Amino acid sequence: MKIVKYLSKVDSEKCNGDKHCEKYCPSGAIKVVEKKAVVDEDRCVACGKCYEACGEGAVQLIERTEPITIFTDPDTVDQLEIQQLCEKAGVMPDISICPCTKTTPKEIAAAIIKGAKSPEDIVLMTGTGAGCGVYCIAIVFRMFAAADIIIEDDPRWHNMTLMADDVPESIKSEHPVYRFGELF
Amino acid sequence: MFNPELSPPEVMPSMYGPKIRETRSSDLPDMAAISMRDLFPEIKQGFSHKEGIDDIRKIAEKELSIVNMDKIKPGDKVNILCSEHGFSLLEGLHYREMLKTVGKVVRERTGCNNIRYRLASGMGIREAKEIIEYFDLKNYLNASITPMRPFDKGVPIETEIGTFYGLAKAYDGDWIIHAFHDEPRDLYFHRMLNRTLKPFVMNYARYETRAVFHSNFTNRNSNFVQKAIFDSPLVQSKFVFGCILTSTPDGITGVDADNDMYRLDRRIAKDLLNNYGRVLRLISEIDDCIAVWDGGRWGYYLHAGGIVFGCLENGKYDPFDLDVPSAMGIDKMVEKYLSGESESLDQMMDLNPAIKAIVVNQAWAGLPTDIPVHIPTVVVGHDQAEFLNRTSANPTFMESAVVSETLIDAVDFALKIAGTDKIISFDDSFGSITANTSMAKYLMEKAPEVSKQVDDHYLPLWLKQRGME
Repeated sequence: MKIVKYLSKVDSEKCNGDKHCEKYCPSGAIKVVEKKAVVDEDRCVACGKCYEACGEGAVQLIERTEPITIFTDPDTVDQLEIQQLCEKAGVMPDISICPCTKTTPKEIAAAIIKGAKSPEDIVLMTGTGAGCGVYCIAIVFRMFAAADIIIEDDPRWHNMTLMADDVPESIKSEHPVYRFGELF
Repeated sequence: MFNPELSPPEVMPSMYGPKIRETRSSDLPDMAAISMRDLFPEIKQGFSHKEGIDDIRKIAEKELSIVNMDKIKPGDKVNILCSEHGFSLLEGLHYREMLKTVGKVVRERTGCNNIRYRLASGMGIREAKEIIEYFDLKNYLNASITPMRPFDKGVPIETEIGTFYGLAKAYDGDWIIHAFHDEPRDLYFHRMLNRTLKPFVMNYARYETRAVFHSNFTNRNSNFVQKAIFDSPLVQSKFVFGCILTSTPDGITGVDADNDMYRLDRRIAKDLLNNYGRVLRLISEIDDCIAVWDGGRWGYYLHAGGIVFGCLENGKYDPFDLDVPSAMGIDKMVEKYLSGESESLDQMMDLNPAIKAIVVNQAWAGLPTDIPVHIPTVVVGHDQAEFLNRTSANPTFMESAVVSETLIDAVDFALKIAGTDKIISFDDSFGSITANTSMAKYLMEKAPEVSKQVDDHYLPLWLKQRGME
């Protein structure tokens, strides 16, 4: 769950239209239109990437009048479907995969069942990827693969689903020091 | 009480942290600097942040003199890959000197002048740029230097276990030189397995690769990934040599360089197990304490006696012991869940129960942590509280933490609620540990026994597990 209390705001006087903000935005909220960055307030998840990226100091985070909550309730979809997706992906449904938002695989599964088709959709439906943005994406890709949804590469993401279990047995047995095959 | 000769390194100003605090934990009454020489005389002596810069240049020149650079021709493009983390060691000047020396020696030996430094950042988009400006790197290194961030353009790296994505800027030259440091840092992840290769899966890699390393592999087998990337045809076609700034908990000790990264890694692993292992085991002996974050990086990565706070946070496990499944306690958490003892898995890791309270004097925000949910946390200054509130990776931090106007008030409050009188500061010190008298006495009493245990039991075990007896 992500409670979005802030919002990116662009100072058009300072914006030089270099699109640094756009290429880092995980939710597609900020776009450069006619050489000036424009924020879609409904899509802004206040991750702060545009604020960080802007070398001109043209982006600030301001408080929203009303915070918005981003969450897909796993209880609103078929539990068996969630379980099957998580099992196929090889992940535990209840373990937090995003240390910033505490999102669980079952919430990601629920978002996919409700129509998420890309990492951008996942950000907008669960908040995953709206924090540090670094550690959560691998399980998201894994869940999409389990749902047979093909994620095309984008400048913002490369689809990677590899897990330790996927490593060939010959490699695992050749390198016992890494303890492949043990649960943890 | 505090020995000014052992003062902690200065804090670099940054957009990722609050304004620099005028009062540091070492300024508090009753705080002492326990010298590493007094705790563990057997640990190899190092340079403090105030000394040894010229020595590092001379040592680097000597080490590099035996490295083969024949691959590099005068018209080639050479990328010297380096890391933001090196600038967080002491005050970063030793690392800067090593980087400068590498570039200078490569120019002199090969006639190649197209030397490009590529500076990798840990997480943020502007971290590396801040460092380039603060350390005046363009002028000091006399070469181009470009930031590399986890979200920058990627390049596929085919390995024996699958495709990973590195950062295109790291690999856009004819050759790469790996210029890193050996400080163990988050050893609860790397477990001293291929430690010096870790940047190939983190610093020089896209964020998806970093996510796979953290999330899709386990605590020990994840360290096969950096080996797979390093051994890949792409990396091997460009790699020339590694040059590593070496350290002990006492400070910076020198430079080690080699064309064979595995040989270099083994030399360094032996030294690290021997030297850092002692302080690590001592930290794990702390039975209760208040920890103070007081430096210019994320709290998790601030040092006390060369050991990062993360090692105290996970301090009840021995991360060097490869038979311990998970140094982060995830195994225990999942076992409880599977047995029905716990109903949820909403906690990332098992926190060290010895930490009774945390005081945040100054630290970077942005690294996800829910510490205040589990440990009473006092944040110094409303400006810092507001700063944390605005940081997307720490959205709930201030929901559980309290704010104090001054450091001294924060520490007083922590002492009242924590039920301990022992304070240890993570103020990025090497060569000493900043602590109050009670903690200082405790650590001094424990150190000799810990050292004996390391010599008699731990070190032989750690070395044997890695085939280094």
